[in-house]
Amino acid sequence: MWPWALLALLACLPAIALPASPSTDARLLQVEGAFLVNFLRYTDWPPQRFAASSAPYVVTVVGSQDAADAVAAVAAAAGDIRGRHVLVRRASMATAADRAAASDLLRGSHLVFVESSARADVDAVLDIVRGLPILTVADIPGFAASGGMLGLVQSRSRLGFEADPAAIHDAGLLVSAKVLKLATLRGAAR
Amino acid sequence: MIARRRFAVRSFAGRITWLVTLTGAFAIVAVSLALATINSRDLRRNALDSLQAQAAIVALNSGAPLVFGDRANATEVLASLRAMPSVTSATLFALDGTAFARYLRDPMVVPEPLAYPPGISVRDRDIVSVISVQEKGQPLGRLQVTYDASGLHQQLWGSIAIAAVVSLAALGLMFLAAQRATRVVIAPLAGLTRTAQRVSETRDYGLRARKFSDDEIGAFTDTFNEMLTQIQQQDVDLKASRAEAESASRMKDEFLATLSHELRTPMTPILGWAQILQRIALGNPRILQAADVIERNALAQTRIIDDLLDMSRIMSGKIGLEMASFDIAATLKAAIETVRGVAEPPGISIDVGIQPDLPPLTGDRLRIEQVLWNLLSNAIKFSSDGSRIRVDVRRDGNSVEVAVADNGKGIATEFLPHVFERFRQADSSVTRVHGGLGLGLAIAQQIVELHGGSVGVSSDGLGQGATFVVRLPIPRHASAPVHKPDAQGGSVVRAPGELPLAGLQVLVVDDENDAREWLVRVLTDAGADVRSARSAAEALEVFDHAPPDVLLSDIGMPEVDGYALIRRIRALPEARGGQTPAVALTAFARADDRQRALHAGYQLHIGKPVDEDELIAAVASALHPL
Repeated sequence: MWPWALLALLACLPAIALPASPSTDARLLQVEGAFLVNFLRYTDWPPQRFAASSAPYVVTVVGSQDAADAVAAVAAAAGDIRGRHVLVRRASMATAADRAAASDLLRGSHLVFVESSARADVDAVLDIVRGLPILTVADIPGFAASGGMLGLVQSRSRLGFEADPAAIHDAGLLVSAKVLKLATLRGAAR
Repeated sequence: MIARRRFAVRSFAGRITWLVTLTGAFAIVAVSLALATINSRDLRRNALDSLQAQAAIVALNSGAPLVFGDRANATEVLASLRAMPSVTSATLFALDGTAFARYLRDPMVVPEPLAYPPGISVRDRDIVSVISVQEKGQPLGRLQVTYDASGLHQQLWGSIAIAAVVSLAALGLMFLAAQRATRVVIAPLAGLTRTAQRVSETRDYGLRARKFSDDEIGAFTDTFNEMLTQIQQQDVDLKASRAEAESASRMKDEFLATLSHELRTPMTPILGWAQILQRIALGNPRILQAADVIERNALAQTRIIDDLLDMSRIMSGKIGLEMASFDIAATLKAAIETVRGVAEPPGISIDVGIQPDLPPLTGDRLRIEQVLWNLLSNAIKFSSDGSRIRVDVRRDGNSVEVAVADNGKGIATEFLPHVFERFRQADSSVTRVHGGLGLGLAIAQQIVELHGGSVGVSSDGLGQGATFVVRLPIPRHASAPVHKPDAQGGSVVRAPGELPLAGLQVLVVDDENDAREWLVRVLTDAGADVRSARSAAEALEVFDHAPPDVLLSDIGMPEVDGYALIRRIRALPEARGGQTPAVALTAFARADDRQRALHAGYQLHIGKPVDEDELIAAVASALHPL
């Protein structure tokens, strides 16, 4: 199932350059990157979140450099989405100074992805973007049930995702029902 | 041709029915075809629209499962096409053409690769729709849906079949309706035709056609009836004028018969007394001459009357020929004898050359004799003293030719063509010299032509003489010569001093005093014991007292005529003279008069004028029938 699904996913990204022999982690990162691109595709932001009609989608990856690179590669391969290209940045929450700098980066993003290596920073990131129309995604189990919007989960050897529609709605975002239909719905115990 | 003849529609009604039906059929078929075409197009369009709509929904819903690799969800989305029974398969392809998810109605069907361009394609019975799967304008993959159009086709054929059945039913109804309507339309025409046929068959112009309506046929019926009225009127007029003409013709015939009677009656006593005068002249040359003159002129007068009557009968086609086999040689001899006896002038000789073994001819002997006598007397009339007349009879092919040639006055060349015309004579001044009405030759020609023969004339000019030739056909079956009955003249040879009617009681009935007295005189001279009666009533009185041996009666008498008289006598018992032999004497000289007399009960019939010998012979032969 995995190679098959991966193949299908990558097929959606026509010109992606695959490493000659990618490791399992690298491939997982690629698939996660593809999911992020597709989330951009199916999500509507308030128009004022874009400075101009051709302003790019801004994706901020909180985690390892590898993860950021993998997402950037997938995004570049996907090309423009609805006339906007995808700008991928990396934010570090390692130090207090980093956090201060990361805060602006995060607030200026459309989508924030917390990679599993930054699992400890999840709550801090969520605090920073709370109330803002920023789609929060993480590959950390239980993320959608604890304040996050979309949580990538591996189930039965395939990658799926959980969603917290209330959180998405509260943030002023509109994620397509087609996507939510594919998700396991969770809700933060509030 | 055969089919054409077999389906040929004879009646007008049938043709109209077929015309209406065919027109209707054309309209129905045309409308049905148009509806079927529109219906088929609509059905197809609806089916395709529905397919496209459904496929579009599926495509819309399959984008997310495709990009998120959710195959189960994608399969579920595709499976929603189950709602369309005609969709046999649907496949969701990624952008590179690999199949991501499938829906197969029948799992045994081999799935198809992505093989069609975007849009609608038709293959055999399938319609394949390929739709791009996209999100916000960005292509994510393709959806290929295969649609089995056989259901659609079935539906189409079904609707066509229903249309055909309805059309046929409509046609049938239309045919029946047309037949019925045509019958109503045709009825007046059929009535007209029937009336016309009945009129034609029965000639009853009082019939009228019934008028059904005020349309063109009604007008035609009126015209037809008007024409019938006109024909009826004309028919009545025609019948009236025909009756009038017939009545006029009958009156003319009667007038002629009366004229004949009235003109001939005086001739009998004139001739009779002239003969008696001759007999009793006893050598007194002046009395003899006077008697001769009277006799000759009386005969000439009789001849003129006969010619007039003959011509009149010929003109009205009422001349009766008594056709029988006769011997032309004997007939010619008789004619010559008559001419010699009556009017042979001194110094004219007649040479006769008769070819032996001539076949018998068929015809009226007396009439032919009349013709020959006419030619002979003409020849004599126009010959001067000392001339010769040559008569030759010979066979010429299939006819017998009698040529009468004289070397007398001759005929001018320019008059030759008019010789046989009525009332034509070469010179009106000559008429005074030669007398006659100019009818003789015309009558001769008519009689000969009635026998199927011809008369011709030739002359080298005035003073060169003339030759008349009569040709009479030889009947086909007669070729052997007749054996002449010798000396069968019928006239009783009277030996001097012998009284042929000695002791015979004869009753003479005639209302004309002169005629009666002459008859009494002649019969008395012949030795008979003669009584006379002036009317039928007197005659019957005689029969009451003592019936005579022979009755001689005139026919034309006032009150009771000769016919009625003989019928009354024949009604008497034999002892009172019921079977007394009777001779009719009449100026009604026509053949049917004779028939009528014999039919009424007379044994013999003699036409007036009659000469003594003939009269005596007739009375004798009535007593002793041959």
